[in-house]
Amino acid sequence: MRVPSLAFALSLLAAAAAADPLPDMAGDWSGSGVARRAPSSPDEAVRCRLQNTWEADNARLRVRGRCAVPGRSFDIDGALARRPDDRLRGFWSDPEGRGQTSVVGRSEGDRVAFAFSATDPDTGIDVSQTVTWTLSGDTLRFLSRHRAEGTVMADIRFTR
Amino acid sequence: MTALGRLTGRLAGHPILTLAAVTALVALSLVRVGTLAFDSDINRVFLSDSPLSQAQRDFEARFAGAGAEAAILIEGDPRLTIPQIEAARGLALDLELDPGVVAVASPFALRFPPGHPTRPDAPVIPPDLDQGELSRRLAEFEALETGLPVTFTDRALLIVATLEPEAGGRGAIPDILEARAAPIRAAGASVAITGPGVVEDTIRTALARDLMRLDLAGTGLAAILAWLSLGTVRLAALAILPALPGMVATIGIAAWLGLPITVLNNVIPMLVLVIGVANGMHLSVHLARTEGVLSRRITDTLSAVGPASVLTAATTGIAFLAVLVTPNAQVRDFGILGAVGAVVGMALLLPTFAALAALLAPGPRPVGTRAGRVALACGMAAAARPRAWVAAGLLALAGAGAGFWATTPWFPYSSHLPETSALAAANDRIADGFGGVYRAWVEMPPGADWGALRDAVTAVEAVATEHSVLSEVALARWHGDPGIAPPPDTLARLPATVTERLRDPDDGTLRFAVAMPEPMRSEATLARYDAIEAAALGAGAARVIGLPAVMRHGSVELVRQLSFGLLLASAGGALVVAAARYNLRLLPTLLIVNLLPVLLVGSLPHLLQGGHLTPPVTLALTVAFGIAIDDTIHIVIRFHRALGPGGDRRNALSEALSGAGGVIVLTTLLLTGAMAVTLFSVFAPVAHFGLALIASLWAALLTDIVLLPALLMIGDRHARP
Repeated sequence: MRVPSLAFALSLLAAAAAADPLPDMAGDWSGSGVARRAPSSPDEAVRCRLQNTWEADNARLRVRGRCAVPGRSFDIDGALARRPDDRLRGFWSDPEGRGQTSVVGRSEGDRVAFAFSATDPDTGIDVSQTVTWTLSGDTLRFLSRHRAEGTVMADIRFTR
Repeated sequence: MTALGRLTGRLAGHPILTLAAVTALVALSLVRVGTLAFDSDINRVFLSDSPLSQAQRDFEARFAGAGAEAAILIEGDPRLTIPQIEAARGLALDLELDPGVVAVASPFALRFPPGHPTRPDAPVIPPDLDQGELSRRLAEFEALETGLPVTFTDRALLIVATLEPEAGGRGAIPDILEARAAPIRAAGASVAITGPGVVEDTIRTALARDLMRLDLAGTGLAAILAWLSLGTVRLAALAILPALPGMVATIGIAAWLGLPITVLNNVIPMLVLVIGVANGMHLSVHLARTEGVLSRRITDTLSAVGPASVLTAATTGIAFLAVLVTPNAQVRDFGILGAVGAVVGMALLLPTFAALAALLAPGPRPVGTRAGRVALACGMAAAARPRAWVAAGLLALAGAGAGFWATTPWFPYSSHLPETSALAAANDRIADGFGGVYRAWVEMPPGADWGALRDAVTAVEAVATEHSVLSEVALARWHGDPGIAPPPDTLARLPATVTERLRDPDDGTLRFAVAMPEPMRSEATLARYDAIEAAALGAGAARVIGLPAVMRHGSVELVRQLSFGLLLASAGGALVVAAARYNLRLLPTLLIVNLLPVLLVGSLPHLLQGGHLTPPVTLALTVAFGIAIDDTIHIVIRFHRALGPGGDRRNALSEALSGAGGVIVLTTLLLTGAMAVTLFSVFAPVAHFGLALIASLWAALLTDIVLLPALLMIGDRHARP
């Protein structure tokens, strides 16, 4: 079944692009929640497992993992590095193997606020989103909204 | 004195050395016992060299990337609650993420078609569950009449995980499935994990325990019965201990030959033991009844009984080898191990007996006289009216032969499951609700077009369980245009492991799948399978493959081949004995006396199992012939020794029955006791094998002490007309 793979995976990586919280995002995470492919699409149940590693020398968080919606799963693969200007830059690999895209972010305390622009290559639909990733102890909440319509595109709670 | 008597007499002169040599040989046989494998490969049970088996092998090799399927049945009591359904969805999603799982099919993956007026591309089971809303959405999806499998009811749902070959094959069904089921059980639902791979794994685990249990219990029971029969511990030890090296060596030889222990051949070591004990009884009783110095008694005994024992090993070996007429791998393993075990068992038995007799033999004493009197009374009564008894025997033989001929080959794989397993019941519930845990594949001929596929699918859907057929036609209906094949993006909604079988990417062969129970679970399931196959072939399909097809046709072929093996063993065994006695006129006597009990028991399924003749019963009949003819050999040889040139047949018969007849009664009692342990096996085929063998041995005892004397007296001028 068709899944919201591009927008969801992109926003997931983008959400990890926080400055200070990045080292604390390292480790194994399991999460569940809902996601949708486009603002007009119905919600889908989703589960993810991430294995994040913090590379202190490069101040870089490597993000790898896998997410599943009923009937299908897809890989998450990317990296985020903190720059001298405190901005975060990195890349994300398309789960369908159609290349990589750059992502940029900034941290605000325990929260990462992020925005990116993207278009679903299959449907041509704009899936640009704003993303927040809130770290609270051993819990991580991922929330993304469609930039133009404000619709919740994904809401996933992770635990270690 | 025979050469055998002289040789074993020498061994008896050096008992400690002989026992040390036997012990060393047994130890050598056990060197590789650590490599002994326990096998339950479903293919080895049913596949042969038939075209269907070859097609199945090709099909499995073609799609070797996907291993066994595990079916997870989740049931509520009385209905599934929302928390239970949510936990089940969590399990389906977790399986998607688990390494070792190739694909997951679950009702949660069902979606409304993209062109649906109110719920385009929406999941049928939404993330926010509400019982009323769920029922409405399921009813709406059913109303689309796509034919797609909906493995969800109020009471139960089914998730099927396709495992990587390593994960689902030999060694284990991943424990992860059990771990993933924990939250569902915690929510109050019951979870049964089954499927071909799980069934194989369950059988494999139980086999090792069963082998040890049977062998230990059989040895213990045989020892107790031998002691009760012979009256002294030392004589009982002489009857039992020489048989033990053969039993132990048989297990070791299985490892040396690389033969895995299976549901069929795990009974062989015990069988070698009881055959050895039967011969040990003959030797011990003869030794006890023989007067003189010990060394002379031993050589006399081995000269008198030894050749018959060697001949019995030959006939038993022939009986086992006869089953090699089947190309079925598991049955061939049974035949090879049985034949080798019978010969090795005898090769170790005679020297061990000679050595132990030198160390343990008690003084001369009467043994088995009461049993001998029973045999004598029966035999002489029959000998008084030989023609009447022979006529009755021939009539019974014809009737039993007709009964055996009229049996129906039957081989339910579920009977291989240990009786303690709940899998058979779970498989039945899956069959009732969702078609079944096995999948047949209907294959269209090369170049078949969409119309031909649609006709075949429609024909099969008309006779199959609702929602049990997975096809491109159902996907086309779901997409909204059943007149043409579904577009690639629609096909992409199914796992590649499924779509590449539905439409072969290499040669374009079209197939569709039908979920079903194993065909020989019951008469009803067999009728359903036959109806599906007939519908498919009648609508233009090229063939039906998959495990259900192999189970349906492979089992029939297997039982037929085993029946042929039985006849071959009978003819071969009788011919060898007649030739060894330089008396081909013995041939009809041997055949009549030993085929009658076998065919009588072979026709018993009409009374006990609805006329279903199973491979374990057929194997038991073949082995029973090999054992039964042993007793006949002992009587016939003693009869001819007593008869001599120009002797009196009545006196010779009396002597043979008094001597061998009593021992035969005792050995039948002993074999019955020892084989009775099979009735406590957790495997029904093992219990059926033991029951058929015991029944055959008692029938053979009757024919040996009633019909055989009558046949031996035919032509005697003292016999009444």
